[in-house]
Amino acid sequence: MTDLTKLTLTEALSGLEKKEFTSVELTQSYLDKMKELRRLNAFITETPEIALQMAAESDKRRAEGKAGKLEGIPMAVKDLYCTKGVLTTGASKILSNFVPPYSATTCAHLWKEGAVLLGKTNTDEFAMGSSTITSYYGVTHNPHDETRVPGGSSGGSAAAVAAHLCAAATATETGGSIRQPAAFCKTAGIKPTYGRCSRFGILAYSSSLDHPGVIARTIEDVAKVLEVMAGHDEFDSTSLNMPVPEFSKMLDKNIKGMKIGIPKEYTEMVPEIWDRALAFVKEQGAELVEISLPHTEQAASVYYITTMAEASSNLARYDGVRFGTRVDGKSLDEMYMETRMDGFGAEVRRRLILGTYFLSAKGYFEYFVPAQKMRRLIAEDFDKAFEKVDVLMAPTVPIEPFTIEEAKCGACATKINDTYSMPSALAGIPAACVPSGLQVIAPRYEEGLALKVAQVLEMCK
Amino acid sequence: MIDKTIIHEMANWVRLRLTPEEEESMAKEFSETLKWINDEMITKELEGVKPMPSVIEGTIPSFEDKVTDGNYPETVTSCSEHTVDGFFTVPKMVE
Amino acid sequence: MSYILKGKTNNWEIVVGLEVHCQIISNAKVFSGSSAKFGGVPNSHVSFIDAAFPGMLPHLNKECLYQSIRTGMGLNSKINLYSRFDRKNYFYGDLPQGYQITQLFYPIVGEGYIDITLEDGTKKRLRVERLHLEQDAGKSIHDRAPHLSFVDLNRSGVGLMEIVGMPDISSPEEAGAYLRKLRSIVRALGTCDGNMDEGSMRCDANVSIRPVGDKNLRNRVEIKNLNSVKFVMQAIELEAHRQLAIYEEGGHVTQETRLFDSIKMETRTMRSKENALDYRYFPDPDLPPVLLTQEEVDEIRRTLPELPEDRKNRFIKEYHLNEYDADILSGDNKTAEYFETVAKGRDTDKAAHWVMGDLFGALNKLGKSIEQSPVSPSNLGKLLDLMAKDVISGKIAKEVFELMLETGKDADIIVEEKGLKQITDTSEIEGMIDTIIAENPETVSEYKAGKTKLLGWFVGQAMKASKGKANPGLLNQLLTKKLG
Ligand SMILES: [Mg+2]
Ligand SMILES: [Zn+2]
Repeated sequence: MTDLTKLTLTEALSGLEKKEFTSVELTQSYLDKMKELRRLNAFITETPEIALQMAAESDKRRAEGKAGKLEGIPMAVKDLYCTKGVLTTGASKILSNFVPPYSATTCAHLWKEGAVLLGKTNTDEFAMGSSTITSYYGVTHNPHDETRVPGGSSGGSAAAVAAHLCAAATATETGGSIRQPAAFCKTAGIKPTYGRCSRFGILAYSSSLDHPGVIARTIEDVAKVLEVMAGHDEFDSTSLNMPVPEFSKMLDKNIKGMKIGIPKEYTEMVPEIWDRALAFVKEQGAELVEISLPHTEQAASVYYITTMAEASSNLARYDGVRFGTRVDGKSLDEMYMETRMDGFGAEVRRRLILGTYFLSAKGYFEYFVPAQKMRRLIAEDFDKAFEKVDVLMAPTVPIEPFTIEEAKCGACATKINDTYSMPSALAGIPAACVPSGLQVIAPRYEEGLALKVAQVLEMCK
Repeated sequence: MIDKTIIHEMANWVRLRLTPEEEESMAKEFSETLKWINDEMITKELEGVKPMPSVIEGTIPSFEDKVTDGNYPETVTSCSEHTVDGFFTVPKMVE
Repeated sequence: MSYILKGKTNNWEIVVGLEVHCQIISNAKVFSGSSAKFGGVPNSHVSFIDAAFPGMLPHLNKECLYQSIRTGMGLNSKINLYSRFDRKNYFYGDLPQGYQITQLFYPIVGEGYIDITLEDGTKKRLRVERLHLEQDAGKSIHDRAPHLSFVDLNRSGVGLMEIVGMPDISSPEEAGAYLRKLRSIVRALGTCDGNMDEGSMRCDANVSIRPVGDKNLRNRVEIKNLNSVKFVMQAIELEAHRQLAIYEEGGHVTQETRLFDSIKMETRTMRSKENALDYRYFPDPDLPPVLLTQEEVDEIRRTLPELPEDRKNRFIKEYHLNEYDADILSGDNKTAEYFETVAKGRDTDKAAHWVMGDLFGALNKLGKSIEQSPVSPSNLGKLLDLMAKDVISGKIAKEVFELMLETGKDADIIVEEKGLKQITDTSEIEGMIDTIIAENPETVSEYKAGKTKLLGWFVGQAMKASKGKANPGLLNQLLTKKLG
């Protein structure tokens, strides 16, 4: 039999439908590949028994004519998503013993439509990073060049997808954590509208910025997974209460007459394909319009203040009392201190400490409130742009993947890393990215549009 | 300017600690970051702008007043090794 | 009636503001679907949300919001159409999230007031600064093991209303009246059961003193967790005298948090200002703002139960009660209900007299609440009817009432069984009078000689003979005639 992991998710679905192979066979192929490429360290936890059991149940459902939308598709889940009965660590020592008694809403949606869990992917600890080097479970290697990082924080998911260790993977983005690793690992992905995918059951980093999303090998695959993961959740008060369009049916490859904005602030550094891509979309009948997003540079400050401040509060619950590791102490405060010193890695500790400043009586009015004001101006930049154009097209990242050595010594300026993704993350608007390193940013709720244009870009070689 | 006393206090707020050297270097690094933020972001342009703590600006959804959750004390305490008689235990809190 | 502390150098007045936490009456908690019921097996009224498990998020119970609005209306307060939730960050063993969800910047309820009436009839308006909605913490127990505290999260996440009063209170008595009035308001509205001993209403008092005539406020001391009206009043008095002693000796009162010890009768330092916490408040990013429409608020107002103040005014109008009686009888739902049952269609003056006098006295002695009264309101009404119809005298009524308390039997049954019916038969009474006159010829002569004061003696004898049952009016009339 040919290597089933070579198939895209869409091809695999069709093969399963035509009974060319079973989910158990497909799942076994992925499990074999995971074993073979374990050196990439894409997974924190592999769940082969659960995977084969879910696959067998899936095959049974399919035989009974009860196939869901992702029936039998083996997927990986970022280790920030709680999975009932399966270790969920957030790549942190403090949760290295945490087996949640519940699943994230998004995971529940996936299992309900027949997806199969292969394992939990590596990430920066509590998603704090952009190289997947802050994980308690070690670095993940970029499958295209193992001396380099896969990006982050969803580096494990991106590497697993790129190395064909799963058909698709869940991911999360706060400032670039889906798009940057997708670009580094040459995969497709989407950061949907804020609130499109429920945050319930996903370890919080920065609540107002955390976006669950998808990484897969093609835009069509991304669309298929997103439409299952997305949906209103009454347990997340920031969840969008609106129907989820069938994104995969909106991919008609037709962008004729469409106005595509090119943000001039995003073109300082462009990938090799850039000029060809511009010519290609014009050939497809789209009109290119130069636009400006004047508050692009300020996004980094807003991001820095907001994420650290929110994280310092969000991670207070890791105190050793009800779950997670504990290091005892003579007093309650000593126990807290020892537990958190032992359980959190250096980068997490640094962000938690600095984050408190922006919430202090002084820092709140001097920095936190101004940052929220600037956040509005950044969001309004996009509103104004979308009065003129339908979508924006830009490079995903302004840099090439750095080496693990560079990442470890902090040589890579993480500040510029997310320059092209932080503003749209702060605005909460959707952005889809393609393996060649390009992204399409769309107005709020218009994931379908972002994916449709991205699919055209995907065709440009 | 952020000095190491402030850093020390900030660490204590989140129940973390630093060595005096770390406090020193973090104070320096953080002061530079704040300067960068002041230069970059704190401008006259922000005057009169309404803060946006979240992109969700509609009203909060709300629930009916019904008991739909809870009643699983064993599960709630199952993730901790520090329980006695159904209580979580912690080092004695002194008033 | 002003409350003045006399010092050697100055006369001092006290300035007090109360912060009261009221546990909201609701089925479920404010941000989760688990039960808000008091007690229960440890950690049973707890969801993963209340225990702040990883990835858990809060969602708002509408009833808790509405209960806060109703309470705000009871405090004559402004209901804010825009409010929001904030996080108050601090670490504590029974605070699972590491922060409390509360409302600092935009509370649901703004300024209002509570009107109090003191025993001497003095009225005063005490302003309320705000009411905000927040969540309660869990409970820790310290006496079950030598080196451990035990944490139960059953109360974690129960809805609380924090009612912050302005520093308008100037005596312990006013503080007591404020709390009692607040309690009567939340009870009337059904928003909090107001039981201070069970902790469903908890009070912190901010106390300072200043020389009479001084306009500036001096350093205040916050006394935490006072769990009865009596303790609040005692703590204020103690603290005021402590501060007085310091100032009189030329000292300086430090701004701090103190605890009240009701056994040692003292307050002592808990936390000084230098150790004041920075709670790092910020808007909770998990909870969008609460946007209300005026229509929604008006609808809540339309369905509001009668407030104690309105009920009091109605009692004055409908039952012609004086201010003080009306205040007491309208104060809580059960008393008001009891009184109205007794008073409807009867002599309201008598009804008030009996409820406030005999009934309250008896209940007090028995240590029972009005709901536990052995005498039902309809039965007390029957007793009043028997008096009104001259079936029994007022004196006999007291006797019947005692028996009603003891046996719980109906008034008319007791009167029947014990043969306590008033004697209104003229010939029967005449017979008794004749016997007395016949047996006491000397006294009769004295009376006839002009010692008319002796009439009372004859009445007493006749009453005794009738075992108190003779109709007093008739008896008097017949005696005067016979002796005449
Ligand atoms: Mg308070
Ligand atoms: Zn409070």
